[in-house]
Amino acid sequence: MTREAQMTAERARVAVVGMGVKTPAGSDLDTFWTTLLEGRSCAANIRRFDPSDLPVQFACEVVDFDPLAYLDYKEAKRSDRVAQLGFAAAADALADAGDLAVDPARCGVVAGTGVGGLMTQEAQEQVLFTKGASRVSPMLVPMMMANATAALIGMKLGWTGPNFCVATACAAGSHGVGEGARLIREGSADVVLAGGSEAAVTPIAIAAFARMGALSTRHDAPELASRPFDVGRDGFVIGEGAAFLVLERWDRAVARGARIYGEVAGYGRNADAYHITAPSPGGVGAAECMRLALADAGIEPSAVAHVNAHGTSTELNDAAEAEALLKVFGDDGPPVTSTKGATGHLIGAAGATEAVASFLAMGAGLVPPTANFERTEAELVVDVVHGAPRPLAAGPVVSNSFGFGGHNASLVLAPRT
Amino acid sequence: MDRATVLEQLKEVAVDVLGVDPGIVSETSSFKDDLDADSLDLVEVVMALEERFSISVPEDKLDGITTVGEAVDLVLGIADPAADGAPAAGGSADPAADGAPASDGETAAAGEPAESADRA
Repeated sequence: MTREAQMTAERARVAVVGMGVKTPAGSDLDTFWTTLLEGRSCAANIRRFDPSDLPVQFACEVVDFDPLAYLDYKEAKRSDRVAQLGFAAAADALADAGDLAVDPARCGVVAGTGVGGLMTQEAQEQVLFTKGASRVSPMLVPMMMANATAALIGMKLGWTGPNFCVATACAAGSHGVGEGARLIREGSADVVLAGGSEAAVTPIAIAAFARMGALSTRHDAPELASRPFDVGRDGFVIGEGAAFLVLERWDRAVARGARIYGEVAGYGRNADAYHITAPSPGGVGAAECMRLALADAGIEPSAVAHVNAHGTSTELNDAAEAEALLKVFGDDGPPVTSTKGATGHLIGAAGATEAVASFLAMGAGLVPPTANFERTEAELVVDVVHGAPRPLAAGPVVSNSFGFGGHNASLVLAPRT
Repeated sequence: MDRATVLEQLKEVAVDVLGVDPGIVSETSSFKDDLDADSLDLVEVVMALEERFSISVPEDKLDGITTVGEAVDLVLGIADPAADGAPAAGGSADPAADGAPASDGETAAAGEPAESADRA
């Protein structure tokens, strides 16, 4: 046995024992899963502020969220929405995990985000420009910094183990789950809250993404705008939300009789090293990332039962990802879905949200349809589940996330065995 | 401006910024021990008072402030140095302010917590 194989054999397995979501598709697991099965898009005209001056006026917002259900007045006031959503999802996941009875020093937090507290930053920039520097809030830095969500979770729970954020744009949620799993594998923690959050449905973010040509401009029918892999796709729909998973060392979870959703069995991450926003030609970076994840899990591509794609509904991502899937799985690959048809693109929360969707799919034995998908380009060889849920054979799921900057992350998520 | 007015305004600010019951705010209240306010909170409280009284409090004046009464003294000393009841003018007044007390804690980073992400 090679040294690498030996390490693989001896490393701790990582169980998923709790999950929580605050998403446009639902703020509890049941609602979230029901929306995904319906294949219903949550895109709608923006409600939280007047978007009439913006080039894109729709998004996927979390509309039923009350931070005071999770935080006291002052905690909520001192937290940006990104941290409020993140903590709430983490708290739900923790409640879902049962009695962990664990030393807080052995508990870690890894929280992904694209931009951190953008709403606070924008509001305080307005204060700076209109009222001057002496009126800028002393809470600006602690509320806008990208690591604020991880810090809030740690403080609220009293968890003193490893605690950090990952900021890899649209891949941050999957990196959060993957890096969290590694903390358990390497023995740095016994329990990790891993996931991501984002609250960037703001005027500046929409203006900026629109200037890149990244957003759908389907104003006449926002509910049809997010259509991953569909030939008529014209960009992503920006969304907000959070998802966290409670990861626990496998033997510990089994010993305490935990309800185990499944396992983080493999994790791959690499970089395109090609372009700051465009995927590498032919999806070579994404393909290699999936291969790394499969090798890490010790499984062949043929063992994969389903792929939860990054599937953003942009022309470039979906074409490159389809090519990458073809490279890895051949022309008879596993059924593919994109959760973003329903949720929109939750940026740094997307990967964690889709990891939750993957475990729910394995639990139900169903692949949710990709909202709004009708048909793809003739040259794209990808079996996109659409129209209705499809039965899912028992087996591992690959969940992909690819971020601006060329950051790729793929997870192999496996049912309990 | 009298002492009671400043204390009343300070109570309102404490409710908004610190989330405390106005009934527990008195001149002898310690920001740290009684109102659970840290140094960042104190800056926010003073910013809100600056808006309400159209004054400007130099940063270094905050250092010795530990009680509500001391904060009232600070505001009175700046807003009303001659104790003649006239609004302060000149160097210590805030030139950017319009003279009217702010209707709410606009200096708070993001407004009410239930809608903390809201934009006006």
